[in-house]
Amino acid sequence: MILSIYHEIVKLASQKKHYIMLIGFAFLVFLMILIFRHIHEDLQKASGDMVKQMPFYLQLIAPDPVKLCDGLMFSRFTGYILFWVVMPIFAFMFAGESIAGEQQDGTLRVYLSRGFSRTKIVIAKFIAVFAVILFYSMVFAALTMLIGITFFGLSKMQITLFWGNPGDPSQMGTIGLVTAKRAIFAYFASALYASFAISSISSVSFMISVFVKRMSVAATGGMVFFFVSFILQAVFSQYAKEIEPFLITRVMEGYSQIYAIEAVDWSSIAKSVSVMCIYWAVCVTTPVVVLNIKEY
Amino acid sequence: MSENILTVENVVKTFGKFRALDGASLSIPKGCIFGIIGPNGAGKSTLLRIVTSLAHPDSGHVTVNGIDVEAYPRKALTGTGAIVDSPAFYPDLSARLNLDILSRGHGKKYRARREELAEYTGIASWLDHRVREFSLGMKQRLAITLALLPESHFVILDEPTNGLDPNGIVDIRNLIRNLGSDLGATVLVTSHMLGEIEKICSDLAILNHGRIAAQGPMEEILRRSPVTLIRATEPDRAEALLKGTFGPRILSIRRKEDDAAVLRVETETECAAELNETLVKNGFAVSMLENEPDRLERIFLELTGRESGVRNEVQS
Repeated sequence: MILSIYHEIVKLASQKKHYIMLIGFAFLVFLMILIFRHIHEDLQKASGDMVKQMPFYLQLIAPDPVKLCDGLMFSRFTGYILFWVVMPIFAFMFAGESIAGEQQDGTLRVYLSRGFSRTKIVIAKFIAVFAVILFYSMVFAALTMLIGITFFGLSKMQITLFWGNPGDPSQMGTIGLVTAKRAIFAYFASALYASFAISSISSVSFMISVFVKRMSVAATGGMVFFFVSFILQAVFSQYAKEIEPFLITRVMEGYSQIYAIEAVDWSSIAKSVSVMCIYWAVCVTTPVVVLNIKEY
Repeated sequence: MSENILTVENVVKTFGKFRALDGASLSIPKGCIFGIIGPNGAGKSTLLRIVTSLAHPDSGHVTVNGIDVEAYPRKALTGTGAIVDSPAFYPDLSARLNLDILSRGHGKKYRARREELAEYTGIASWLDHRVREFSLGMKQRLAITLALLPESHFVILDEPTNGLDPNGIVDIRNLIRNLGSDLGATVLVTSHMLGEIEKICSDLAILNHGRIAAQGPMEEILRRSPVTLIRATEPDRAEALLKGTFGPRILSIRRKEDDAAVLRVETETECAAELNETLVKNGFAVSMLENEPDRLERIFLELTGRESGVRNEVQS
């Protein structure tokens, strides 16, 4: 099994998509640097007024809000877009490629004609896709943080963020301060959680890829599922209360919570992880069954 | 252990209303180079797909080395290397990595065999090159190497000379022909190119409409109703003489289409020498006497083309 997983990772690593992924990441970071510089400048201009508007306890511990807008804050903002938009798209592509791409190229036939265990093939492929997502999540998180600290420095205290829920008065946005060490830990914990969440999201593409012969169809199918889920949750959640806990975008909420540092709702995280497990189970079992009975 | 490496018994496979295999049965003895020929849609690819467990038969049995492929595909196909359709590889990986990944081979013994086989098939110096850089001929060599790895003794090659230039065809032909004698492998080859099959294979099966129309050693099949071409003086008298002398042993006598002076004599068994002796003894001058070339094509057309009208699909 380990050899199969290694081979799958080698195959994924040889793909040209990595260049696109790296270019996409570099472009995102570049744009975020430009945006963050503007935020910095605006904060510097409005520094005095902001301090007056801040809660009393924050005025005591953070008299200079510009310092709170540092490299780690930059990486947290960038990570938000990275893990909600950029990484899922690439994950869909990698997951869609894994079976449909091989079917498209004809290499799947070579595999299957040799009598290798088809269950092992599917599991190895899924683990390899997850490994690639995990690798990129952690590497991109580290790189973003290093770039952020290089450009904007690192202050000892970090601001915590919880956006709240505008539709729910009981979930008002909160703000607080933690040490940089704790914020860095939370930042990497959120990246780790995001990699798990993204792998469960991409498992939809993985499942579709066993039914179709084109990786683009499998990747697009996953993306459509993701965005439909996103729209359902964002716009129509009050009309779809029964399915809302099982929406694929729901699992990503845990990322936002861990990232917010202070406002982690562990029962909600546990629910999200359960939903992830359901997606993994369904989206891996289905290809196992289909690959074992389908004719090629 | 079974004497036959592959046994196919009454295999039926349908796709909707189309019966791709209609009770096909054949057996391949160990150590031979076995060819399967048939017109398009005869069921060659379907048969290979069933043998390699890529498809499931509606009924019938397929055993490889005596083990049922449907019931125990992994066990049955251990030691079998198949290239069904065109050879497919990961273009951005080296040939060596492609062999490792697609054969799942590992360990010291495997690596030694890989290098040895690469040397044998002539791709040793290309192992570190990406497959993207390979010509079709090189890909076929790589596919044959892959089919022999990690420990294959039964190699299935689907149209291995397709798309190759004449030099490439000769190279691959020689390579396949020597697999049995050099490596002790049994080879199953399918092709449209009858000339190639005739040159490569020791045994043959002709598949038509999902059934095996003929099967056996190549020599035996080629000996079926041999045709002798004779150019003799007074062909009309010669024809009458031969008919009278040989009676039912002569199946038909016709004039050659492109040369009316040549008699085309189809006999039950090989008897060119007797025909010549009879004509000469009766005062005829025989200026040419030879076996009709493209015998396999003629037999193939007799067994398939005349029924299905696919003559134009055959390449010799």
